[in-house]
Order: sequence, then C-alpha cells, then structure tokens
Amino acid sequence: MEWFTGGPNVLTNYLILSGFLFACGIFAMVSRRNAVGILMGVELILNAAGINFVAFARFGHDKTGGNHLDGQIFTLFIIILAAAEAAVALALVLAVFQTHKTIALNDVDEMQM
Amino acid sequence: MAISTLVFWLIVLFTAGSALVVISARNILHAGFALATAFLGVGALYVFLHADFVAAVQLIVYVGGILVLIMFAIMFSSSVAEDTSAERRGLFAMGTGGLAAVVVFIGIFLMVRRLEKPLNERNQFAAVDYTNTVGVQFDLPTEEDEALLAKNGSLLNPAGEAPPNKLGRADLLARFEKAGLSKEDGTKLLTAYERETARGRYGIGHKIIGEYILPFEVVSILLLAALVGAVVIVRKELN
Repeated sequence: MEWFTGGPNVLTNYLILSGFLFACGIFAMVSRRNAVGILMGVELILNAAGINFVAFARFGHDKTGGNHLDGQIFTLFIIILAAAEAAVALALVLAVFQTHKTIALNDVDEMQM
Repeated sequence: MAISTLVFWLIVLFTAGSALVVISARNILHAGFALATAFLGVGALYVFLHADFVAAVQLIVYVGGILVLIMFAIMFSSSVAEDTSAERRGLFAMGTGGLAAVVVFIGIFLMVRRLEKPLNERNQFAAVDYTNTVGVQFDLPTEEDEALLAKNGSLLNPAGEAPPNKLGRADLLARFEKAGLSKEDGTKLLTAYERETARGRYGIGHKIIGEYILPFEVVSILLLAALVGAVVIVRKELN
C-alpha cells in the first residue's frame, strides 16, 4: 500500500475520500424512504464533487506556475447551486407533507389526494 | 509521523464516519446532525487543500444555511407519532443500492490507483506549495514590473530547461545571474515574476469578476428564481 505511506497530501487520497462520499450518497439516495434523507444523499454527492474540484485545483498548476484557482471557483458554484436546489427540494417536501401528511416516499404514490 | 499527518487522517476518518452515520441512522434527526459533521469535515479538508475561502464559504453556506434549512424541514414535516423504524425501503432496494455504491466506489478506487503512477511520472500533479492561496492580492505588478517582464521574460523559461514553477527562488536568481543580469536586476525580475504569478494565485475575486462573470450573474438570477419558486410552492392557497 505505497499510496498510504506516501504522506497524506497526495491527490489520490482526496479522490478516494470523495469517491467514498459519493458511494455513501448513492446508497443514501437509494435506500432511504424519508424525502429529506434522500436530499441528504444528494448533498453528500455534491460535497464529494466539490472535494474533487478543489483537490485538482491544489495539485495541478497552470502555465504561470500558480495554482489552478478555477477548481475552487467551480466548488463555489457547486455550493451556490446546492443551496438553491436544497431550498426548492425542501419546499417541495413541505408541500408534499401539506397534502399527503407524510413524507415517506413509498406512500406518496398519487398525484392528488 | 508528523502531527499534520495524524490530523489529516483523523479528519478523513471523521468525515467518512459521519457519512456512514448519515446512511445508516434510523432517526432522521441523527442523520441530519451527522450530515452537519460531514460538512464540517469537508470544510476542514478544504483548509488542507489550501482553499481557505472555499472552506469559509462551505461553513457559512452549507453548515449555516443548507443544514439549518434541512433541520427546519425535518422539524416541520415529521409527525410526532411517526414510525421511524420504517425508515428504509425494502431489502431489494437496499441490496441494489449497496451493490451500486460498492461498485462505484471500487471503480473509482481502481481508477485512482491506476492514475497515480502516470501522474507521478509526468510530474503533472506535483503540489505547488504556496503558503497562502486566496484572498486579496496586496501587491499587484507595477508598470515597471511589467516592463521588466516584457523585456526579460524569455529568461524565465528557456527552452530545454526546467520551467520556472519547478524551481525555487535561489535557482531562479542563479539562472538570471548566469544569463547576465546584475544581482539587483535579477531580484527585481524575480519580484515581478512572483507578483505576476500571484495574480493567478490570489485572485478568486479577480476571476469571479473577470473570467467567470457570466456564470456569476446567471447563478444570481437562478438563486432568485429558486427562492421565489420555493415560496410559491409552499404557499397555501387562499380560499
């Protein structure tokens, strides 16, 4: 396991962690019944992508020799879009709760009450 | 093992453990708090990656905004007598979900392992080690700096030798002296080069207003539309 002993600040460690978070997000999205739980899976996936971008921003360099700052700006946009998407998704969850009185998505199977 | 290594692995363990609690907690509120600690861990990793502005934004927006919103939604939308033991879907869904997650993780792991050797050979992803990365750039290149760079720029990157971002300060000064510049001019050229490259390092603000102005404005309008839409969705009809 030479990647383990090479010190922690290696690109591949961050990629593996973000892959693990991505897999956890997928499992949370598929296996949870609560709508907010599914949204938590989505947020885990978005965070994993954000780590990926910032890791590549740190470990790559552009032609002037500085860090790629573009990866960090991508992560900023990911954070902004996650905020917008969480707002809309939670509004939908509340609306579903108002009509169906439950947010277990197995039981929400009709379009109108 | 240095203390930073220990701290790094602790943070990685913390984040991964929080993600595991998110996917396995029965009570949705426990999952919400574990998600908060996962966001904190990711923010700490951003600091390790020298992205302090992104770490601050992560803490403010994710932990302080999105997570609070999630908590509100959990509180508003779960009835008291809810059966939290029925949190999961059936065994088939969990099985396929687990299989998909494991397959994805193993695939990513193998791809990353396979990437490691070619990247190290081409030295493409060696970490460029600057101490501070983002924030305000206090010393911009002056006009004489730019004139110096325009005149002597070919000295920075002669063909067949190592590019300037792989050398340290002393090596660059030695290269300038070998090319015939005096020590004082060499130091000025080095300062000019550092200020010029710092523009790429320090300039999240420069980039957002410069290159990324269009996504910035589009995202502003999108946020407005999203929030207005969220209010419209939740509003009860007035009879």
